[in-house]
Amino acid sequence: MNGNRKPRENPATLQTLCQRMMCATFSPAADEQEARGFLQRFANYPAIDGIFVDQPWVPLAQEILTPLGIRVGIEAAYPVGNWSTEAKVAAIKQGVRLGADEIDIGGDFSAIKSRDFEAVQEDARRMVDAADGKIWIMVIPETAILTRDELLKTLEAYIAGGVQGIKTSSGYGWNTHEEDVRLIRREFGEGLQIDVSGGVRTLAHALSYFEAGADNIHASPIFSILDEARERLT
Amino acid sequence: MSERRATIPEAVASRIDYTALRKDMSYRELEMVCLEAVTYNLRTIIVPSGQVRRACAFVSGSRPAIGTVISHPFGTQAPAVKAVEAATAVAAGAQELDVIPHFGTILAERWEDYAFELRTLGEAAGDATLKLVLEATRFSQDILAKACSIAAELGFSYVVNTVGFRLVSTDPSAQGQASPETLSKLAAGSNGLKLKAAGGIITLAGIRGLLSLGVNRVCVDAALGVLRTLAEEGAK
Repeated sequence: MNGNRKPRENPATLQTLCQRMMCATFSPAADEQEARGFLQRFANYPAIDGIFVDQPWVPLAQEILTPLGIRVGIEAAYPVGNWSTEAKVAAIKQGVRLGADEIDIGGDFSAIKSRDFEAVQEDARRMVDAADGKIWIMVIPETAILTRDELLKTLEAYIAGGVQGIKTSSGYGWNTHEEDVRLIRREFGEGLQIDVSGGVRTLAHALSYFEAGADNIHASPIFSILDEARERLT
Repeated sequence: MSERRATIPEAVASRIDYTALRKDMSYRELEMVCLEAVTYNLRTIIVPSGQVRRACAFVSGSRPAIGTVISHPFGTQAPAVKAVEAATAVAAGAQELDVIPHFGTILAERWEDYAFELRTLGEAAGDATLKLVLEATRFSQDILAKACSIAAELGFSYVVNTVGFRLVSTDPSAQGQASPETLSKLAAGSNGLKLKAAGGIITLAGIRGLLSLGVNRVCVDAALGVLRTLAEEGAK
């Protein structure tokens, strides 16, 4: 299992942009018909990398998205985090059972803010062990609420625990600073997958995060960004 | 002359679920939250599932009890995952579980799937008190009543009007509020479940108003730091 990484040069075409864009179906209070309608709209665009859905909707999402070549992901401990490691491990195992491609999962923010990086590493290690290479894990450190030192130590702990990729933010008001993306890429090199989420509202935003070092970008206004790309890119 | 600390009236303190779910809460801040709840003799402290064991170490006796939230805030996990979170929390000392069901299942009126989810949770929860967390303003009266009726049959004790998170938008004003209208709507469909009010509860007068409507528990957000104000308001 890998993160379906693509070359990191700035996308010059709609297709290469789509290959590195992701989004989620939430609103969680949407009904099934709304979810189905949302997913079916992606047939009008080149395949994006992945879409995240509620666990009970994974079969529905696979039915619609797999023929389109779009990966299906789930989340856990999201967007608030601080779930027990046992609950996160259960979510990862459920993701494997469902055949989901990726799980984006919130970190142990209380441990980070308590500078208990041993706990951060142990939480990461148990999640990576639970995945057993059968589902791709992206851990969310929520970069915007961390000091630079907390961020670097957290990522060191994740990597020591076996994590190979991070998603910077859950969104929900905690936007990702471009400078943090540059810092992470500079400090941790190309070995770490960096997906950016939080604050990406336009094509210009997306391109600037790619320029800063992002592998993929999650954006809730996905259709307006793709429509803008259709006009401006080849 | 010793200065006496103002207390929160027992009729109110015994109804407060003091809720500490802030994302960046450190262990030290959790300890302070627990100390506050002990000082004011509140009913329950609600913490994330990853902090139940630590919170239990900061309290003793039956009050405040420690509770947690299951699949907070979106309820998007599969029943089996929620069951693990519940059973682990109970084993760590949680006595109350505020459970977020899968709203999409409720809105689709897949009542067998919904009942399976609640039954699975009930089996995992042992003797813990179960509270069903809904978004009352998002559901029709019929769906609300049906969801509560099934939960009551399956051993749930309370229904809560809102998750208290920005459920459908990144706009903070989209958070659920404990308005009298919403609680009255919930009361009309509660089908025997006791009522817990959540969202924007910051004054003693507000809590008393909710209790007079038949509300049994109220969520007071620890992040708002209002306990001293509640006590001072009670001393007047």
